[in-house]
Amino acid sequence: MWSMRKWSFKYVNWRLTTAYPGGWKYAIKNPFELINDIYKYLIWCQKIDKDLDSHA
Amino acid sequence: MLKIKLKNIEFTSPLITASGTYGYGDEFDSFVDLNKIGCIITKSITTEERKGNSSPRVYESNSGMINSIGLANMGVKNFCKLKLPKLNKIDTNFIISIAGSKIQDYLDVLAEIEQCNGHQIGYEINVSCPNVKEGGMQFGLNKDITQKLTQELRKITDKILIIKLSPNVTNIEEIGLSAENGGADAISAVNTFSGLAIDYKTGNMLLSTKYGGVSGPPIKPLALAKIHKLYNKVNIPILGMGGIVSFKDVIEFIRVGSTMVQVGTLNYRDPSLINTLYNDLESFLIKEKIMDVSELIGNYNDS
Repeated sequence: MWSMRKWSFKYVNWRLTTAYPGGWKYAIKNPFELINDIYKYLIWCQKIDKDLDSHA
Repeated sequence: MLKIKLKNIEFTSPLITASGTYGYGDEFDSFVDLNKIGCIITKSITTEERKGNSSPRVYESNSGMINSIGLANMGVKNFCKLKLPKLNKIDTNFIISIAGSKIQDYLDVLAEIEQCNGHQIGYEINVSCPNVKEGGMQFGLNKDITQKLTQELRKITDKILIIKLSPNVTNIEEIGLSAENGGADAISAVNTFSGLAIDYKTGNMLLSTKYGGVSGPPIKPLALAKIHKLYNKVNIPILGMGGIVSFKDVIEFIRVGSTMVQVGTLNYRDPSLINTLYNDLESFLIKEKIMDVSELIGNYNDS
């Protein structure tokens, strides 16, 4: 999550638009889905990081 | 050392951000050193604005990803008005990705962008779209349609024209050759592989469209094989991609025949990691006393 501190508002907005039809509006209307998706994303980041570590 | 030329255009590095993974290209300038990226490819632009497929449309699989976003984009008019002026100011080259559901759509989008005073150096044509006039089969699955589409686009632009190939074909070399014969300057290989995700307990499909495109590290060996086959058949440069996460992957893709490489899924982890790839790649070349990265293109040993 540390690396996310650099993310700009424009970038976060684009990520939400990519994930959901309706972007941030959809995310606000479906907070449980958003939280669940963020959790799954963080788990996925850990898997990718393991992959990156294996290449180091 | 990392500079590469493609159709008389010089790129600061062989690293390209893949379409759909770097927004329209202007969302990153505040926290990524764009000068280390050879080129940014925008998300695919269509004639009209599209919201894309319903949710869920992204599924994170084991260190990979399956997506079925459905070409969500703002449409060519909004793109020219809102994004192109910002893209003109970014600190690297950019290429515009174009998608459509019939040949005329591709032509209309490209023609409209050509009139907009953009600084784009070229276009990447996403042929993994259903062809409405031909019963919904993807353009890129048919060599004749790929060639015809390329020929028609070639007539209206002198800029770099890249055809992005689907790997979901029996003979990718045949489609690559048809793009070359149609006048393409380069090919991107490969787009995502067709995949599906299902919940083992409930039996629920995990994407609203059932099928999606698989990307990320799991597809790397499959992508390398496709690029190797293409390299031995076509005479135009290949922009290789498929699961690149480290500088070692970059070199593997270049060694099997890629002139440049596209980084996609890694950008979803952290869009600034592409800068790390640049630094690692540069350090490797210095350490191995390789003066020019292009020396590695197609530089492999048959065993």
